[in-house]
Amino acid sequence: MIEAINLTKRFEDIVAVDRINAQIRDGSVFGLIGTNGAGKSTFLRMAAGVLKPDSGTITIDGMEVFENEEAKRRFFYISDDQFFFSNSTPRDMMNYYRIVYPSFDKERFHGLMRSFDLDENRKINTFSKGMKKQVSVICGVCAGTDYLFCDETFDGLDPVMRQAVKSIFANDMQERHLTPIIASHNLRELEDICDHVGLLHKGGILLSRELDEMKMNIHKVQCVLAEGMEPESLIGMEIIKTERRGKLLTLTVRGDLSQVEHAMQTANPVFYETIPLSLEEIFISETEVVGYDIKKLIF
Amino acid sequence: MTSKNLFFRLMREDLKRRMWAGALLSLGFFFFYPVVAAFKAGSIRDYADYAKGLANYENGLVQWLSFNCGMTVFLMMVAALICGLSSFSYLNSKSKVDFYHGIPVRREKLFAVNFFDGILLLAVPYGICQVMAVLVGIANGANGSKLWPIALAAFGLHITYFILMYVTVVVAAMMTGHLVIGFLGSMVFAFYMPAAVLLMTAYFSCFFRTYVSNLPGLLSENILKHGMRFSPVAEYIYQLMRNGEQYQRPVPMAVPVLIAWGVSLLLAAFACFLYRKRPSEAAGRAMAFPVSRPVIRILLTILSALGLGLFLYTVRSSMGWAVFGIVFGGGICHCVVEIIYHLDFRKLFSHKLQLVGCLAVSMGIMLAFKYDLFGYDRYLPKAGQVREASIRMSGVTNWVSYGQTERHPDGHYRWKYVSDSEYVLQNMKCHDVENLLDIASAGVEQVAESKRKEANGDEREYYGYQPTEEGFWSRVEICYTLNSGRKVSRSYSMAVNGKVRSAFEKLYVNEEFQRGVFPLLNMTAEQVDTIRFRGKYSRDNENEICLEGMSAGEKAQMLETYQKEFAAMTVARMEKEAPVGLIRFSKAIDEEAMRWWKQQEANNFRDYQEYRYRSWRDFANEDFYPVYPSFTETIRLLQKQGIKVGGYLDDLNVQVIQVRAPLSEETLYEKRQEIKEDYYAIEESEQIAELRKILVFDGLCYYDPFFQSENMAVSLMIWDSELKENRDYDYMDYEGEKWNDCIEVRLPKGEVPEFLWEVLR
Repeated sequence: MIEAINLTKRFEDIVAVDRINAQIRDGSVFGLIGTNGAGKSTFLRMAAGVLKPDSGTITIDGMEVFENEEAKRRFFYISDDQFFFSNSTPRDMMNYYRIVYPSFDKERFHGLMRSFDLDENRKINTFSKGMKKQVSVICGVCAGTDYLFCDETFDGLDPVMRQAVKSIFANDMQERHLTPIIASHNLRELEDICDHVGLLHKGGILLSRELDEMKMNIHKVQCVLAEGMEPESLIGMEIIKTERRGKLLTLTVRGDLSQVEHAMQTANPVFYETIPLSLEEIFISETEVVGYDIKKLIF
Repeated sequence: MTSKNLFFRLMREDLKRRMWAGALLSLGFFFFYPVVAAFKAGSIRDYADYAKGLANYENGLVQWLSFNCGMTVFLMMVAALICGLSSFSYLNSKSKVDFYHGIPVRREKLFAVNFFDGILLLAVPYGICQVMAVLVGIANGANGSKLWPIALAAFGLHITYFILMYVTVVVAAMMTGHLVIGFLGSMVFAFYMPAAVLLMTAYFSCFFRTYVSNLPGLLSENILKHGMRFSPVAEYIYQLMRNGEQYQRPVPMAVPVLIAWGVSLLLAAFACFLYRKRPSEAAGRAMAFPVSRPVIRILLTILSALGLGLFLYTVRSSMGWAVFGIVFGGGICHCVVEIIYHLDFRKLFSHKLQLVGCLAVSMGIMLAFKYDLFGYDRYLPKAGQVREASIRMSGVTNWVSYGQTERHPDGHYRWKYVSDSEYVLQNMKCHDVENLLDIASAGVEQVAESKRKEANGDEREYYGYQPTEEGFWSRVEICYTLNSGRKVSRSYSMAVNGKVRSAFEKLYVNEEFQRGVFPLLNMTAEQVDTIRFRGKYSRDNENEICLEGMSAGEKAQMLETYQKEFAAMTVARMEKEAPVGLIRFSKAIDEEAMRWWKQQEANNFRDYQEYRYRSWRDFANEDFYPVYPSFTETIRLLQKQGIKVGGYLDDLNVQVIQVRAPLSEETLYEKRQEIKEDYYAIEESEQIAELRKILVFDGLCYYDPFFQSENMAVSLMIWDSELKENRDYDYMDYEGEKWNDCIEVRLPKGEVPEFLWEVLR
């Protein structure tokens, strides 16, 4: 389990990560989502032992990560701008990783390279951005580590490859309990792969929950209320956002689906309907609650 | 996988990545060693005698392969920069830092891998090329047993200083987050201290009249001597020059090498510590550690401000320009450093207060020097504070030879010069401190007076070395050894007259002073091998007499007598008396050297081609001392050996005596074009005979700086029949074959015959 306790990192006078407390359980896909500058990459870089926390700790199974070879052998870190040696080929990278990751699966590497139709002996600098990402993921999966830290790794992958990677992850999770931790702001990509989501905002963690639980706890209600009735008068509903188009109201509400439906029925509206929220909508709603108004950004 | 295996495998992988640096260095060393060795081999054919050509080739190769080869220093400096900066260049890129610091390898291990690879990148190609050069040399006939030890020693020494420079570059790379800034940082580490020391020396020289750089003192001994070496490059060059000065004579290098290794180890440990502490986010920033920013900025700003301030002050001698220089130099440097730190032009004045502080400090330093706020030029210790002292006065002992003849391992001889200051410092321990302080206090007064005159707009006082009626000007250097053992030196340009003159006369007969300035007075009878005497004029000293057949007792007696009479000589007597001859008590090695030279001349320097144009005077003309007419006992002993003393110019066939009227310097300068009109020729044989009785050979007066002569130029125009055959030596103005040589002589003061005054009037 990866555990962050009061994890803080500052870059001069900017607080990049502010007292984050989080637990990432083994065997699930953890999605780290957040606005730009929320501290996702900084969190991952601290988790990977690249950055030293200013205060707080981040541990893997109780071991501090920074400058701890044993802890660092447990994960493979793919940064948002993964480095490859100049003029190197995937085979060269494999040879290097084999030195530092003793459990590196060479045969699997060859197999996956073939599956992804990548030439092991071609120079990586001639690869497209997506192909480089594929090489990174293949190296990461073959390193045989318990955790795989992916920073914006799915950006640049085409849908087919994304599905392929997801299936590799699913396979590894099942076979050897791999725990991928994926940081991204591309929420649609994470939605169908993540089990657990951590939502970062301005350096702090807004929530950290199972994705299903999160989806179950926030809903969108479209309704037309009875004459003279306002959303504020709806009893037993925690409305976090209200949109009005003529008489049609779109409410984003927190709470259990049955509670919401009960509250709506009690209010006896002209019409109502509950719609599940996408992860993106959940993200926007939750960040709006803490003052991150998307409209202000757009207009 | 063991940790050791991982280390070596990472090293191998890293070397693969940095093959370009290895290839570049290999190419450089290949051209520098084996190719040059082969190229030089062509010079063997330039000699008709193969043995000579080979010896010359071998010597050249030894010089090239040895530690003394200056070109190697340049190569090593470039190599240290390439290896040092490339070893840790990944720290300047975020993606590379993420890669290297994300893998399960501790930073110390990563540091060690890159650090040692940086050394290997140089050591391997350098070693291989050095070996190839030796093999090329051997293949061309050079003696391998001579080349191997030289090449091996040079390899060890060059690698030692390469590592010292390399580790400094690594420290600079650790402290910066950008390749270019890393390079600039390396330059700062390499040259800041030498530049600061030189600037400080320049301030002392410019503002303090009594500063003397070559004598012991806080600045010259500690700061100048050791501060200059507070840089790997300066230390490397210093050791190289130290070796170069001692041609073919190895200087002990164990201590400097141990120090270099010790410092390198400490710096490597420091660099590793910095690596551990260095935040990964420093990649791409100018400085990795914010704490180092103000330190470097302040140091550079003050140095630049003081540098430009002094430069403009020395050019214009104006404090206004000095202030402008300080503000401009400091301001520009501060702004440039700020731009570099922030990589943003708009951050020019991010630390205004620091800039103002730096300028204020620089201004304070300048004013402290300008107005001598700490009383440097007024320094005068109390007699009780001084344990002993030494004094050197220019114009007093210019004629004395300091040094000795040396035989070098290749068999050639050379006179090894020692500076008079060095000799005096080592040999003079004067305890009559009161007398020296009298001279020094007069010097302090004269310096203060000179400064007052300068402040009032008067020109700085002229000083020279020629005796004047009031006395003479002299550069007086005094080194006090205080009771604490600390040495303090001061130098004064002063007129030796009045009270100072009395103090000087007292000093001149002080035994401690005499033993400190005249090496002959420290000579023992056992050291005397041969006595030589010059008592007759001859063009190339062919008339020098070597007193052969003297017993040891006779030599000892001659030495003791001369030492006694010479020590008894006073300034007043030296003013009146002119030497009648010169005597030399030469040592066995001096005689050996002269025999060797004559032998080489006879065989046309067959084995010592490179020394044939060295001056014979190196050891043939040194160590002569004057014999005065009042040295009656010495003269008696010389006469006992069959030598006629006196009549130095008697054998000359004088045709004309040419006299130039006494003129002041100014008149001479103004009338340079009409100077011929001021010459008068004395051709009457009686007048010539009368003058010849009193004239003194100018060359003898060189050995008596106090001899008083009339301020007129007198020349003997002589006919030398030997010269007729060799027109090259003829005197330029010779007229109608009446005379063909000219000898400068002097007229003793107050002895000008009446007829000469008539002629001059």
